[in-house]
Amino acid sequence: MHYVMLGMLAMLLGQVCAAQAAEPLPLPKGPILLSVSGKIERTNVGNEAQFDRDMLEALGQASITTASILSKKKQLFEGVFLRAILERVGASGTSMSASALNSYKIDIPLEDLKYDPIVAMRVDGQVLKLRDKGPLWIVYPRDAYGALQTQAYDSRWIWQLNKLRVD
Amino acid sequence: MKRSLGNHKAGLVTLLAMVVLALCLSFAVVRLFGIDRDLRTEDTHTNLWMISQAEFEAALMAESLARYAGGEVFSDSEEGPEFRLAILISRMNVLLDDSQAEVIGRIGQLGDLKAAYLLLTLAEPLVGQKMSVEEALRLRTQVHELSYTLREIANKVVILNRAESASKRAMYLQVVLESFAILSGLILSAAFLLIKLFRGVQEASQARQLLRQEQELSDLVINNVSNQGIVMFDEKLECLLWNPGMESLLSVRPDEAIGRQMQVLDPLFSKPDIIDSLRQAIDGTSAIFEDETAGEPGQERCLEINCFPVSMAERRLGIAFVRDVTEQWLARKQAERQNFDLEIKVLQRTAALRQAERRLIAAIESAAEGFAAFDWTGRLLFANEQIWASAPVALWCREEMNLPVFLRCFSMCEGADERLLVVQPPFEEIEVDILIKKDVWAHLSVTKADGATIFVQLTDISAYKQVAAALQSALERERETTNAYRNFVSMVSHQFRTPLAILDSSAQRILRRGASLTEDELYSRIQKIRNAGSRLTRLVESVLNAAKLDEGRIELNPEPCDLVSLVMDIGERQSELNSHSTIRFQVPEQPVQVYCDTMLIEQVVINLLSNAVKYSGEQPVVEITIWTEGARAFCSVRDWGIGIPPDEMPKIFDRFYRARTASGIAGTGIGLNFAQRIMHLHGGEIQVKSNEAEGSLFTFDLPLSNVDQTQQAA
Repeated sequence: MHYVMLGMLAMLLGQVCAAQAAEPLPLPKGPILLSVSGKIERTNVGNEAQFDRDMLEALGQASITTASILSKKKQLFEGVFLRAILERVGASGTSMSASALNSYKIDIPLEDLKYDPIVAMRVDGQVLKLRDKGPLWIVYPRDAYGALQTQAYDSRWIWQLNKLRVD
Repeated sequence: MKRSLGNHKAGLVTLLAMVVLALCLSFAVVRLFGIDRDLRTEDTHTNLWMISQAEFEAALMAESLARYAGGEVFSDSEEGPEFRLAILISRMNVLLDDSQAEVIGRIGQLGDLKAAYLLLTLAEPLVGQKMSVEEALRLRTQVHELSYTLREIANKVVILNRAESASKRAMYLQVVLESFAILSGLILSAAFLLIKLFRGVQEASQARQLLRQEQELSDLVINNVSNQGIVMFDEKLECLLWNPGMESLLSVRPDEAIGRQMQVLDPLFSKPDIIDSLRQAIDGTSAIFEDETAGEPGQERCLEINCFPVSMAERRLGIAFVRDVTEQWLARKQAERQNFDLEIKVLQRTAALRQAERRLIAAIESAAEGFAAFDWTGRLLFANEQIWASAPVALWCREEMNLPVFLRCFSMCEGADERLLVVQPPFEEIEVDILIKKDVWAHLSVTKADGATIFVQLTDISAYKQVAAALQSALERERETTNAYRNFVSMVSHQFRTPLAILDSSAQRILRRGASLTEDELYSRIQKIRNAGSRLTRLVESVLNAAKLDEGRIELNPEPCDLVSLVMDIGERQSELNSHSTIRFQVPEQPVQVYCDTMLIEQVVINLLSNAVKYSGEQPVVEITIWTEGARAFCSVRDWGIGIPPDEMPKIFDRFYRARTASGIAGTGIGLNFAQRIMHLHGGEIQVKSNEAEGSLFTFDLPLSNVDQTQQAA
């Protein structure tokens, strides 16, 4: 029930985003949290689309409550839908390469968007910092789908995310 | 059937085995799923990777700190100690998370790691600000140590992993092998079942083929049996089968008959009792009956119908066999008619025979003789009234009369012998004269006719018997008389000759001696002559008396008298005659009145007394006793003389009979006979007890005479 309501909220926000989609990206004002490159339609700095915290927050809110391979107890992850970010930049590829501040890299096929993964900025209400997997963390609704409980998906939970390149 | 049961059992066992194997298989699958989960969650490689990442970050951190201490200014903030510390702390964080911490805890390095983490956290504010070169170098040393610690942890985790993965592999292998074994078992069972199924299908098809062949055979038989109609029907009496035989019997074609109600097909099947029988056949009861169709002579027909229950394909059906038995039926009817004629004839003959029998019986009934017939087993066939009326039968054998019983009745009669008692089949012929009641004699004859029937004839021969008895007694008397005369002649020749010889010799002596005889001598001779004379006289008297008695010339003139005085008088007189003898008396003091002819009784007493004296030798002692007993008076005379031999006792009362012991003693043999006959005239008897050489006791009895009798007599 909770998830259904969340899903409806997400759709509503998605429509809002779609309305925004046509607009050109503003220039980031604060520190850059995420830069998107590759096959994207909209950019703001060079051929990249750069986002500060406010810009990301503006893309709507999403949350997932789930356990993870790092924590057996359920945690509340809050942030924005990955889909919202990609739509904002007009991404048009089949997969993307995500890289982290700790030099971790992983390819994520864009079909994973069907699971509605989010880019979390808060865990259990605490804003994620660099020292604890911040500032961005891709989170899948692991508990909601059995298919997600595998190493392949677990390895896509990239934390300290800072770059996305759409191929 | 047995085989298929065995098949079923084997199949059942296989099925059961398969169920068990399937259960095992599902268990194995569950275990495989467990392994899968195991493989998915407990990824030790991740663990190692995490450790190596942390180690790398520690190395980077150490390098960054060294560069800082060297006074280097970082163009890229990502190479600065602050950024690297944050990254290292985040890496350490992950290592101290649940699953990673658990593995590290197992190798006992969690404490070191936690201490390092605490150190880094404490160093965080320091790194954020401007830290001195010394501080940076000290921190670098500590981080460097952390990297070594991490390497050590990695080593230990690898070793642990290897140990664990070895055991896990063994376990997985076991599970896989078990699953394989179970699968093989399943495949084998399935194969077995399949083979069974295949064989079953094969057998079923064979059975079907056999059944079809049988069906074809039975169809062939049913359709070609032309002299017998066969019809099958179901519980609604709907015709299922109608063979050509039926067609020829009832002129209904099979295609017209099948599927229609039996009642409609022919009037034969609409008769209520036939419908009943058909229904009973459906219910399981067989029936057989004949159906006759009346018609013109030569047109009548008789059908024999056999109904049986049939069970086909779990359905209860009935089958009827119909056969034309007209010929047999006609033959039977002919035979019945002839039988009837014969019976009439037999009845007429029987009536004629009965009449003849009645006539015969009437003849037998009216016959004077008793007549009975028995069959060879002794059962009574017939007996006329004379038989039933005969004394023994009337008394003893009214019920349950058969030949042995009948003859046993007569066995009690005088003249019967043991032949009448031992009768049993086969009976023998018997001829016997019997006294069936007082003065009635009968001749009983048992004869066999044709060896089967036994006739018994009972003829009254009383008249003949009476004549025979009269003749017999006359003959007896004649013989007795002859005998008496012979005895008499013998007695006379002895008894008369002696006195005559004495007379002659005395006379001779007197004649020869003449005058030379003395007075005394002459006297003695004359006395002898006289004695001989008187003896002769006595002899003659007694002979005359006997003759008188024989001729019945002695009359009895009874009168009351005193027996005591009578006997005493005689005794005294006897004593005077024979002075050498002693006579004792034991008599009552009162007179004993008896009723008798005194003259005759005197003769008796004299005879007994003289006998006693005569047969007692030189010194005779005689005892006379008189007593009364009841209405009679008794008188006994006892002596102690020569006695009588036992074998001669019965004869001593015969006339002219004299005992052996009496030879040499004069006597006629008439006395005792005479005395006994006198006593018989008085209604009494002389009884004798005697032992040879010990003496004799003669007792006679007379009726007592009381006053009343005296008066009556008067």
